[in-house]
Amino acid sequence: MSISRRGFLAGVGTLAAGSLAAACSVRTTNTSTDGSASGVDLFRAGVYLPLTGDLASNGKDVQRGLDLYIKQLNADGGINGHQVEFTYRDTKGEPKTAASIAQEYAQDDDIVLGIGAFTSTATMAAVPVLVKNGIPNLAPTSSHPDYTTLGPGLFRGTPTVDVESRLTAEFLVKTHGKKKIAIAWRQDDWGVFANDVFSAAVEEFGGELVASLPISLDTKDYRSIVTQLHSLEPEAVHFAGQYAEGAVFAQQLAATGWTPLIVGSGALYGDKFLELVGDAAEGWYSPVSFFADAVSPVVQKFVKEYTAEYGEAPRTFAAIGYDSGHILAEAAKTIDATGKEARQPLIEALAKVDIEGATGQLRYTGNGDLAPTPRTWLQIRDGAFVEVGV
Amino acid sequence: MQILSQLVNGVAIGSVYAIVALGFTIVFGVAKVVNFAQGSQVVMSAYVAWAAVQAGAPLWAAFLISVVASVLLAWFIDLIAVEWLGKAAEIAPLLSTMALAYIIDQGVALIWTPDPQPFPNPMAGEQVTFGGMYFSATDATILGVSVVTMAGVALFLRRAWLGRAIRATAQDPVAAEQMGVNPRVTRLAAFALAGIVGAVGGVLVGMYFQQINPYLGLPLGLKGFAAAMVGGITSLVGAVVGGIVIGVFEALSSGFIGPEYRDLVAYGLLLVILLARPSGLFGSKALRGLGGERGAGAIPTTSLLANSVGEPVMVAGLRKLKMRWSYAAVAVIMLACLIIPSPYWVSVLAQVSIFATGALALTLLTGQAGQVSIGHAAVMGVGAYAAARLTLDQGWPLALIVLAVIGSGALAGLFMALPVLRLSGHTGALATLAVGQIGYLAFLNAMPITRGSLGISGISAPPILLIGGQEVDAVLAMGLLCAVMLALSLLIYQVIARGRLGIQLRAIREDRLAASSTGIRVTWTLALAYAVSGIIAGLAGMMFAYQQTFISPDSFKVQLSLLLLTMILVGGITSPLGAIVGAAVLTILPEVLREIADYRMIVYGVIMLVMVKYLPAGLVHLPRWRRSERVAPAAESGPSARTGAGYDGPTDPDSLAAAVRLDGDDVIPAVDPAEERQGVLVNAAH
Repeated sequence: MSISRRGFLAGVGTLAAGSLAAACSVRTTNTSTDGSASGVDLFRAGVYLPLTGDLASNGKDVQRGLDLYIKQLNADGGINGHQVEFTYRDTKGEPKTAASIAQEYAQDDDIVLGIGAFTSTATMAAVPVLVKNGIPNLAPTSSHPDYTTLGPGLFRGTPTVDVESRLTAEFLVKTHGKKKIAIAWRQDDWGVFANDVFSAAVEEFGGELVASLPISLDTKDYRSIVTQLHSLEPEAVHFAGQYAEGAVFAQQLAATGWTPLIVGSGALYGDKFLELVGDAAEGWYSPVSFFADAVSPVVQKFVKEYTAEYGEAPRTFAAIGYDSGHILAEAAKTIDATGKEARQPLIEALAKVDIEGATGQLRYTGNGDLAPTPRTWLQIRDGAFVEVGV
Repeated sequence: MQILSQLVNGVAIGSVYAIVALGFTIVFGVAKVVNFAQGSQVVMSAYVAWAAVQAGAPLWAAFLISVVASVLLAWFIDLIAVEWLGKAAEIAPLLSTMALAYIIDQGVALIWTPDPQPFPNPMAGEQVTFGGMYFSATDATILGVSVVTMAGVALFLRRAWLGRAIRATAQDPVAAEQMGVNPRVTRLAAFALAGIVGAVGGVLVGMYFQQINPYLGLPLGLKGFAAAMVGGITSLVGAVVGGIVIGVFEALSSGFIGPEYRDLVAYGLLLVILLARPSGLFGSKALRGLGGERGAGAIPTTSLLANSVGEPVMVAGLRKLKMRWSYAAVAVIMLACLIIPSPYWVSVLAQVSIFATGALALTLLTGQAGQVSIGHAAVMGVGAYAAARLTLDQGWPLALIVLAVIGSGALAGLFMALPVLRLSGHTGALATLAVGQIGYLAFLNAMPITRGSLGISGISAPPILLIGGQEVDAVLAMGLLCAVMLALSLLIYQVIARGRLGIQLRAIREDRLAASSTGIRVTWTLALAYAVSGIIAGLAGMMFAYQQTFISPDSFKVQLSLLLLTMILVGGITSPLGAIVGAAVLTILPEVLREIADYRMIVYGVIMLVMVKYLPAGLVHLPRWRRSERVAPAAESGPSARTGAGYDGPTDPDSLAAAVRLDGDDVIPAVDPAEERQGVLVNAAH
């Protein structure tokens, strides 16, 4: 026993030495590139997403979309002869970790751009550091209204949720003439914002908001919420949440036999939701920015290549990741520099981006926010998402 | 009408909690191990069943496969947390099962991807519906299975020979062995039982949600915990009733107060019940020995730092590490900030100082007073939010903000002390978990103050660090400021630990009853310790807010509390230097491991296990411990021998109070270890 303890001590020593060596080597690489940043023939972006933890499946979707776009780009010769490379880091969905990763990027003179994080809380913990170091950030999915106000060089990869929330309110009150409306929203920054905008818009269009119920992220059971909703008898319900909890909500709602008009969020769209929910979400509507069966050639190209690469159809977050790659490529093609020197030109170039992506026409309005993109209305019929005219 | 519907909803989800709680109760009853990995075990069982169904097996066969896998996993947990760690301190299994939970969760995500998966439910759609309410065949099955499992296990423990052997071993291992019971076999049987219940739970949970994901373990485990505690952690009936009580309260509060208050009510209820009946609704009275001043006499020590037979363990380092070493460590951090040219590593060092400060708050509570807190993230949060609001809204100078943070931290500490003071040991630790959850939920819901999940952004420290009218580099300034706050916290710690209060706290740690009979006002003294610990944690929170510039409730989840606790265990529980070393190791390790993201939590978990096993006294005692091993190669003969050989004797009277109890062979384990175990499973056979 005592021998194995000694062995262990030796192990600890090795480990400590190893980590120290690793720490030093990180530093030396960085300092050595100080002198010759432009000598590196790589255009490097730091991508920080939740790759483990309970947001991992979403983070990995974004990662796959990004990888797909950049793989093709590099195969076509990269950006002005520079291959694009990502330094991936896992935020675990934690703001603390995202901030620490930002410091690591700030340290690295090769990094031109930060791409991430997934949730706004993690993004907003990271960007102050990036801004301070003049590194632009492209947040594929962050919807927090304050995000772009935190400094120059902060861009979104998708329009904020208010576009969708307003459209949904209009759809329910104006298009379908429903008066008594309720919303169940995910209790994170995205849901708080969606609820604010939706509630105001319902009143504005002349409807009555009978209930606004938050869905706690740690609660996986929604029967109480369903019961409460039902007791208030709204004619229509907006479910502002993600697909995983959406499936449970739909099943528990369907079990009561109550069938109000329901509009889910655009985030529900995808095969995974249909697989999870079974036939419980029949008739649900969803306004989406990305629809795999859309006629747009950009969308068709993306869907075909994505399915070929990963063996499954892309979800919305994958499309958003793909478009973020597109935005980066579009902005960077006007720049003939890499590393530190490319940061400021990239900020200026990003602001001018106007592309047709898989999630619609993406055009910056000056401060890093995107102009609203049109939505396609889908309905679940016979276990599939189909496009419906409005 | 709605009230009836919500009652039904409550019973339905309550049965899910009950089945998870049963697993806890069995393991705790038999091995006195709080199995943090229980939730993960349930989830893993569900995944095995799902994978079997995917491979074409019918549900019943999938269930059997899942039972086998779950039993094997339970034995593995037994092997690690009980067999391998042996006579480690009571707190060791807590840590080791937590490490196992990390390993299991990430293992599941690696094998079966982090995506949620649909779980087959052959009974889906079969239900009675009336109004907005339904009660499904699945609900009835879960409730039925919970009750049948409970009754079956109880009957088995009461009637079957093996069941009685399990109970006998739980009560008095030595006597049971003398009667011809093989304790190893009985414990394996008991863990197999827990494994079977885990598999049943996994399949039922999967059927209830019709969906599983690898990260369901923690939320499910926490609720199962709460249910087991409410019912009385040794009572099988209590586990079922506790689950249903929590479920019903959740459903009613969700329906009539608001869904956002659901968990707040659940954890609030747990606190209230622990206050009114520390041993839970159905807990045995004998277990009061684990809680409260009066019962303390039954056990040689109420401290979690003792092992399961009541012997003091080497967790408490004996030779007093002089405070100057801690200050030297702060100086090293500051020097490193000044020398290292990389802003990245300077900001990592700033985080080391912040977490060292947070961990120091726990050193005071755990190392000095023997109280284990799994809720300090909330206290840090109070400091962080106070600092953020005062800086942004009022623009106060730093000195005033520090005072305000000290005030609010002390209040938060006292608030935590309120329910915890009457409890001790496991019950006390789990009550702090509830307080921590309540804190997190309060941050999430107090929108006007905290902005809820939107968080507060753009927090920057008041500009005080002007040297010659010139602003110091911001990252460097932050690194130095964090180190200064750590030094300030060390000063506070020193004043408390070295004075009369420190002696009293250590006396309470060792024996509440004896301390009380020498005239120490146990409750007041502990309350004071909580307040001071709150002050230090508040300061850590303040620096966290300044260093991160953005805070949201996400930052102060239970994971942070667990991280702080791990830090002091890794570093060394009784020495402030341990807090600093632990914080340094556990802050720098994830930074270095970031390259291997997919396996990081597994590596982290393994390192934690190895630490708990081989370095129970923490890294700071590494050099001395090696020497003592040379002197006493017979370290195997028990912690007492080890402490005896390596002990230099305290030279200053301050540490005498602590040392007397811990001084090797002089300790008379006055009480039969059996007594401590008494009642642990007596009650399980309800």
